[in-house]
Amino acid sequence: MNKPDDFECWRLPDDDSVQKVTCKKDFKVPNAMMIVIEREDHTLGNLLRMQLLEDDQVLFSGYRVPHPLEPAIQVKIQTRSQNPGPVQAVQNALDKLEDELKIMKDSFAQALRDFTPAQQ
Amino acid sequence: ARLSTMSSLPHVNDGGVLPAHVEEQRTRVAMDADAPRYTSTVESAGAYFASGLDNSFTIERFKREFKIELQSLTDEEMVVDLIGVDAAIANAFRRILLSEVPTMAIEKVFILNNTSMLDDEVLAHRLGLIPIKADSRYFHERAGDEDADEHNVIAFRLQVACHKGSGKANTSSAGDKNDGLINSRVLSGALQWIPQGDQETRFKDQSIGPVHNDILIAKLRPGQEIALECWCEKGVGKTHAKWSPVSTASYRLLPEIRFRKPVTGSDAQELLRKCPMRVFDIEDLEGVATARVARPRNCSMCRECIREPEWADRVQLTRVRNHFIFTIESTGVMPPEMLFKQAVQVLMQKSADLSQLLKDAMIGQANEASMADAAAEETAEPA
Repeated sequence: MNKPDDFECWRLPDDDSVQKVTCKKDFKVPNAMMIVIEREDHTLGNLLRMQLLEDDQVLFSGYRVPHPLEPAIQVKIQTRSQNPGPVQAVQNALDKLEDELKIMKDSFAQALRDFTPAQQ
Repeated sequence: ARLSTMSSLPHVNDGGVLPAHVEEQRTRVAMDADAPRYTSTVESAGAYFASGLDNSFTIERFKREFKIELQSLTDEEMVVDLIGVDAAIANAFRRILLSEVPTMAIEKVFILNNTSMLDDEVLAHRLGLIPIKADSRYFHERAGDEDADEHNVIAFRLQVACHKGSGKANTSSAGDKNDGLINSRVLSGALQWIPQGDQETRFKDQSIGPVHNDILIAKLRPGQEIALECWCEKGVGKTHAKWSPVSTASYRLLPEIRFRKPVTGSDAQELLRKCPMRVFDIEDLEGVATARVARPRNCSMCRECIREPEWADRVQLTRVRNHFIFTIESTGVMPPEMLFKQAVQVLMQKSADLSQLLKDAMIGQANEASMADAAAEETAEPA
């Protein structure tokens, strides 16, 4: 009766009642933003936090899952200025992540090709 | 204007050198006899500015430091080394392999006749857990009670009745103590694929069916029968573990053993005896039998070699922080190298989708702000 459907931890409801990404300006410190990403978990949260931290324009980056029963993450970012601003910093982090993954995919394909002759 | 940190600190560059002990803390996890130390990765870009090292991420630095080395590859298991990545990425891959790579598994079971000892739901549960060898990329996810067609479901039929055999006629499975009964053990091989629509032509080269034919589903006695039809749907491990394509995916950091002082003679023999994983070897160095670290990969971190205090001073046990030994054990639905590629694909898709949504969210907010301004202007004008 109280249990949500199993797929609710990754699928948004069809009636658009829940937005996947919500951005809220954080007024406590300058150039800070809180991004709430629905239906995501530590897989993306920790990765995003780490990627943001490795950017030298980012002063603060952290994430949390506010409650384990609710499948959402909050990511807080503070940058040095509005250029790049917090949201732009997230975009940059995602772009760098995609570049990294492309390199990993190609390296793996190469390693596979190099391996099979040796395996014999 | 962008606050340029790099040009304001001319002594900082990518090739800065840290003092040895700091470099040790940055690149190694110290495994002491009681607990590990220096476990968290230093990720922040400015951590070592004072020492002249730029710790920020650049794609050039990543290209330089990243390596993938395939250690072993079979149909079911793959061991691959990921070097130069952060723990967050390795963990993301592990989590995605476990729960977000889609596969096909039996989801809907239509039971026509079940007179076995297993309840309907127990039987259906067992059917769901059977790994189905089908490439999930050819299928779409079925939303709830959407119309079922050849792109949504794979249909199987199971029709087994047990009866007494004529004498000792049935000697099908090796060593089967079935007392001469026919079909007393219902195995997964009994699932017959019923091709729907154009599936027969689309999949004529790949045999669609359970990965293993000898999984025991139920046991029957004479007079009992199971007749059912079941549909496989596409799903992910997050929804139910039956859709997980790996029996497990795990990683460990590369162990590194170093000698603070050389270990010679009878001490070397003692060290060799201590280690249960045969990490050490004895070699002859200038006539002295010295211990050598021969197979650090085998080390299981049992810490037997540093358990006694006098040994803890001589043997240094650490792990290399960014060297991950990834083991992927597939259930057989897809070969493990394919699973890794899929995991990378899933992560790329997630990142691309999020990037797009962020752009849309920002455009939406900008539009709202400009519309609010325009509305405010309009209401202000008549006044």
